[in-house]
Amino acid sequence: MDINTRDFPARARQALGDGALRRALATSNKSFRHSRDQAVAEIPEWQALRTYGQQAKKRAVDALPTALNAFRDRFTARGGQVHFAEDAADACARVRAILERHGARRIVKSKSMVTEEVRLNQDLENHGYEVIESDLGEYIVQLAEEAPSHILAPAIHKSRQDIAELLHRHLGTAPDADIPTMTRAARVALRQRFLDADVGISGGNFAVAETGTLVIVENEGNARLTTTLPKVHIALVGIEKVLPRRRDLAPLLRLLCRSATGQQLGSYISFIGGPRRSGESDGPEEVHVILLDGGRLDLWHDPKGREALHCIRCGACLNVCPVYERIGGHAYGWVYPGPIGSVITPRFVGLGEAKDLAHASSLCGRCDEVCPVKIPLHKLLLENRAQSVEQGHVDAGAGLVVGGFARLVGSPKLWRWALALARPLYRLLRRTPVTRWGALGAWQAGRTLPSLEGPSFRQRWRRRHARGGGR
Amino acid sequence: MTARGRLLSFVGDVDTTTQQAAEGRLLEVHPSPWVASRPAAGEDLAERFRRELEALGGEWLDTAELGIEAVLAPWLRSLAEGLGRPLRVVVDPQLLTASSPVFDVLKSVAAGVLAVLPAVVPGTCGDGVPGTCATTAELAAADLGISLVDLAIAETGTLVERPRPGRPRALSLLPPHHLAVLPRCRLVAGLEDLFDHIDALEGDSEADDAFGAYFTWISGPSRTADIEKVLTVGVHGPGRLTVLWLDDALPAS
Ligand code: SF4
Repeated sequence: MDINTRDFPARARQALGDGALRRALATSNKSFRHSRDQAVAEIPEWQALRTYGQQAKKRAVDALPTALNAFRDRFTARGGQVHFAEDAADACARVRAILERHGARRIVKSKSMVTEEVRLNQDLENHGYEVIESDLGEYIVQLAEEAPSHILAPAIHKSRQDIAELLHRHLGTAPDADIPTMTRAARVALRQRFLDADVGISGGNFAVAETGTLVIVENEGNARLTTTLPKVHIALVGIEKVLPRRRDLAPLLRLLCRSATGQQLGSYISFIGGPRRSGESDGPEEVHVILLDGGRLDLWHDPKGREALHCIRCGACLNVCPVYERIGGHAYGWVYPGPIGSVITPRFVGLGEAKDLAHASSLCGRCDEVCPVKIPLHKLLLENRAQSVEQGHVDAGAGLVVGGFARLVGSPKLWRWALALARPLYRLLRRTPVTRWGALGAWQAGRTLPSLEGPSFRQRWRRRHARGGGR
Repeated sequence: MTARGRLLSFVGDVDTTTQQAAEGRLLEVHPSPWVASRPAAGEDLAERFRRELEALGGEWLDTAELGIEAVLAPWLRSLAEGLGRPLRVVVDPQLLTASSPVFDVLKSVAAGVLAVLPAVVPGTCGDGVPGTCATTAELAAADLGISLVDLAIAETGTLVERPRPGRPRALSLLPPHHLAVLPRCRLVAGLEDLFDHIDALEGDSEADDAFGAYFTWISGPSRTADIEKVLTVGVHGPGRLTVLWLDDALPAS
């Protein structure tokens, strides 16, 4: 996916004005939250489970070199092949080298955010390969020539009418087809692609070092097809997905599936340990796992950022984020939206490139509460802000305002005086549109300002105490 | 250090002894917390499995009372009637041995009900494996895939299948309807128990332990909610999943 993080303010503003998008996001977020909350309520020990998940991921990430080394050894011993890719270009080149060796042309893909990260589809298409996405949501956004907007539900920004029109054009279904009809049509269209594909490309949720096993969680069955039918399977996985012990899978799968979709488990979980064995009549003859750095090592070396590598990509933080809910995934300008996107995108594409993302948060902390592995997302966001200030990515105006604010709150007298002045100014601002006044106008345009009713808290407090009331 | 090779040196600069010691530390036991979703001691696992399966939209065929013949034969006939033609079935070779109760039923209902079932006459496939090695094309054209389950998890209503010589991985994937034969002795309580039990199984080859080349967990029919979060079944995998419960006898493999 192209990096468009610099346009974040403009994209966010545009998204805010898109009523259909905001309705779609509100409905889907509510539905995601509802399923997750129910599934979590079934486990009274949820907090203990989160703590375990946090520690398991910490053990894994802290021991990353050992765990990666062990995964490579075990997976290779099972006949699989492990590659290490430094960056996007490296990852794409390694995929192409495998494709060339097999004279492959047709590629079928199951959902993988890492392949979005390295822009694999564009790279392969530029080199003349035919790439088809098979996850229903990914297939829809691919047909629409768009990017995924949610890490679990890529087409969540589109209404069923949008999709019906799209499939009408591409698959000839009725322009007002219902969801089961559209799903069936996609199944039929994609089934042939699976049968014809030379190579299947997937992502991966966990790579277990102890056993040399790649674990893929899904619901549709397209990842199973992608990793079963073509002669060659290539998985692109971030290095942080390696887990030392197989026994950590049980708690982590519980945390992941319940947080992601509210299921106990995804419909299909595949455990892949190399190519097919003798006597088997299907399954890939070659299996490659490409482990990607892509900025993760830098994050690993930063003690104040490393926790971001604990993420298991469940999407729960997106679904509770008031900012994500109002602007959607595309506004973030890169692969990972929502709180986790605001945390890792600047680290992967550069703080200077994505400085505005650190501010795409109200710091309400709901993401911290739902994160199944207890990543302190808002703390990491603040760290990004601090680092972008240190690196000089903040404009002088913002510095002045913040400096002035610090002076104000530092002196009770100044503060009271400023408040007294602020109330009439605020009332004026509520009634008068100031669209021409740059930043203030932009701020005002995106919101309905609440009215300031009655006296201030201070005044009420003083009055109540003057009356001698305790409460 | 050049950018290229940075990750390799990050991973690779450890000698074997250091690596082994570090791995040893990583594999230390960290007991995971008990969670209420795990079946309690004494809970009826079959009942629990059934409840979870049905909640996922799977169907339960219980042979405990009437016996396998009386349950499976009419079920197959009604599927064929529904289609208005013989049912195209692909069967796990493990279920096609002379001692398998499923094999007897398939033979008894074969004529006019089942089609494309060369293996009803036991033959060999691949490396001398009994049964038929269905091709991917045959699987794609089948109405029903019948497999013998290796393990099942009561907690989540999950079926576990490992590859076997002669049994394609896609047997439980390509046909629109999957019939999974589950004997009681293969049912375990929770996710943690599964990892313990799988260690007791033999590996796929001499070089492998039980984790082997591949295994898959199946929890309910294939589903998606990618369009407006509306749940729809049968998108890429089977839209129907039926479990045939054998209360006692395990078909010999
Ligand atoms: S940061 Fe936490 S909540 Fe957000 S996607 Fe990652 S694991 Fe899920």
